[in-house]
Amino acid sequence: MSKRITVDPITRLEGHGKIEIFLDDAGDVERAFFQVPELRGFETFCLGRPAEEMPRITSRICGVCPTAHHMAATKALDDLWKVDPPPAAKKLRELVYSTFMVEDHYLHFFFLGGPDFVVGPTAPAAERNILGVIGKVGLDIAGKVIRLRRECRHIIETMTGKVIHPVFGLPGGVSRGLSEEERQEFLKTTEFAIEFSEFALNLFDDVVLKNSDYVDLILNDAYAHQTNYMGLVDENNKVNFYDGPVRVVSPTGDEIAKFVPQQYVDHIGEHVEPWTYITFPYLKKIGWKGFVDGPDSGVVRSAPLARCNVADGMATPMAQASYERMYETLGGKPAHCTLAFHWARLVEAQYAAERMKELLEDPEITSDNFRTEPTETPSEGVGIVEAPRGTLVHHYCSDENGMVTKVNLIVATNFNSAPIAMSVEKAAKGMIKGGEVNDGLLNMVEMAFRAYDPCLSCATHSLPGQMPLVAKIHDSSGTVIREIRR
Amino acid sequence: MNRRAESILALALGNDIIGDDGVALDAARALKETFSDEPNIDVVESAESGLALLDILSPYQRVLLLDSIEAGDLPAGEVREFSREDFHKVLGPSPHYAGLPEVIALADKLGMDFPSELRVLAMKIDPQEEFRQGLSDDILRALPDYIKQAEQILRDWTKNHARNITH
Repeated sequence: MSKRITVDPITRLEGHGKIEIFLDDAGDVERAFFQVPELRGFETFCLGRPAEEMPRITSRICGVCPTAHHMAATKALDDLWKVDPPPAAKKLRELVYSTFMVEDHYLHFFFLGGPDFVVGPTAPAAERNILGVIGKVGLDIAGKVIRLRRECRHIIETMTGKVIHPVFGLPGGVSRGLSEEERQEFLKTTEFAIEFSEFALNLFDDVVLKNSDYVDLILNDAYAHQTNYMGLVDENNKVNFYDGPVRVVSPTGDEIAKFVPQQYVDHIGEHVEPWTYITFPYLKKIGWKGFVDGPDSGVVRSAPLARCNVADGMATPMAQASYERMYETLGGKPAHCTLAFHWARLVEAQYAAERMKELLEDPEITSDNFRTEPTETPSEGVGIVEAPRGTLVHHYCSDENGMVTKVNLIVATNFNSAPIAMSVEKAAKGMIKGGEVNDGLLNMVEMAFRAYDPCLSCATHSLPGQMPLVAKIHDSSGTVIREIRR
Repeated sequence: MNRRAESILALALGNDIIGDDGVALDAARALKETFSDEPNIDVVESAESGLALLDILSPYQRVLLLDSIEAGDLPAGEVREFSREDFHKVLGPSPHYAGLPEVIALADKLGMDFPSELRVLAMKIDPQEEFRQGLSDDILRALPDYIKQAEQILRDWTKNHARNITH
């Protein structure tokens, strides 16, 4: 008799998600689906509104990455009005954005994804949370995570007015400059952030890399996919979160596309499935070939490891050394191990911390020339940034008065939606055999999902939240024959 | 922010572009007017959740949290009250304070300042399917009573504070 397992909603994720696993008569996994039944209509909601409100409206999509939406929207407005912000404005934006990346990446590592490794993938469910992490790493470290997060939020709040609904980005610049006093204060945070970045990577070394079981798990084929990768790069093809062209590499690491934001429609298509609201972006050049990996796949991954895979390196010295070490361990570039996304996240956080310092040490950042007034008639604009979870696209059209007539958003979790579906199915097939389904095995299936740090809030435009897990196992008649509740 | 003795926070969580999800924010706007002359009461609206609540809550002695829930078979507009002790149990799924048990446990574990009293007034709303502004009829009808319940809790707290000063 075949069984159906429902993991609904997924634990320790922002937003709602559901994994459904169908077993065959032998108790092995036949199919697994990643489903998102959530809110709709954000694009429609925006129509007819003044375009300059988009950075404030889109940051309300969710409470998890408002800064990413705010920044992508702001860049879309630059393009809509064809206005180039002064250098100081770009640096201030990148400072805020780098600070946000530091905060968000560590939040994910220590609170959401970290428990899987720091506490252990098969540890009792009651311990796989932040308190379990504290138990393992100690109170002092937990206090440092809280402190770093608080100081980063202070920087963001100082610059943008509000962390959750920032009032900062304007077409052609930003709403405020940076005083010398603030610069000095923020520099202290960057010292702490850089020091913490070393600690976090050392912790990953001690807890994960020195544990052969964990290394085997990271390198396990059940958690690997040979896909294309995408991400923003700077003029030297180094990872950049705020600006630059989008670079795409093949599963063998060859550059197959490099395009400016305005050309994204020529390169990215969105496939739709009847069983979910989420769309599945793919490379147009290759076409949608289904949920498959390998050399013919049109699937493209974004997020930390994808960004590292597309880049030639990191633009700061400590992060570059960490980057090189990561690829030595993973066996070269591109790396296809989904669980290594966590490692890449720590490398990126180190880069973000170093970049904060670089920007704050740039004398131009305190310039009072932080806005270029738009003079052109608005028409169409595209803004792309790298959100913590991957590439984020905002595309607006407006009438000549700047009222929005068309909106398209492709959020990071959209880009990763097909890979997530593939990863969940592959992990389920690799972990669940002969009908044996327990809490630890289900968690190992979820780990494939969590590595992407998916924000379903954005992907489906819903609210964030951390939800309990209910796993239901159905027989072929639909009757619940077993329920696992955490 | 420095921690103030007898400080009270009414914290409303929600998103005002997701229909009924914003009911607590509407309640907060009424409370702001009612308690505008009360120096010990701050009324704050927020769309944040999880760890961010730690920063918001920690400066206060007493916190009334206003929120919406989508759990259970309750009719839309019904209000349920929870206390800090209830967070030892599993709460119904709320997009906003589902992380609160962890936040409380974290504050305890780290010896951080945290409100000595925490109460939650949560209004049941139907699942919201689209982005829109404004509340549904059911929630609009329930809103005045919801506000009264919140006002009563805040008044009781300020009275107790007055008695404490007298003593």
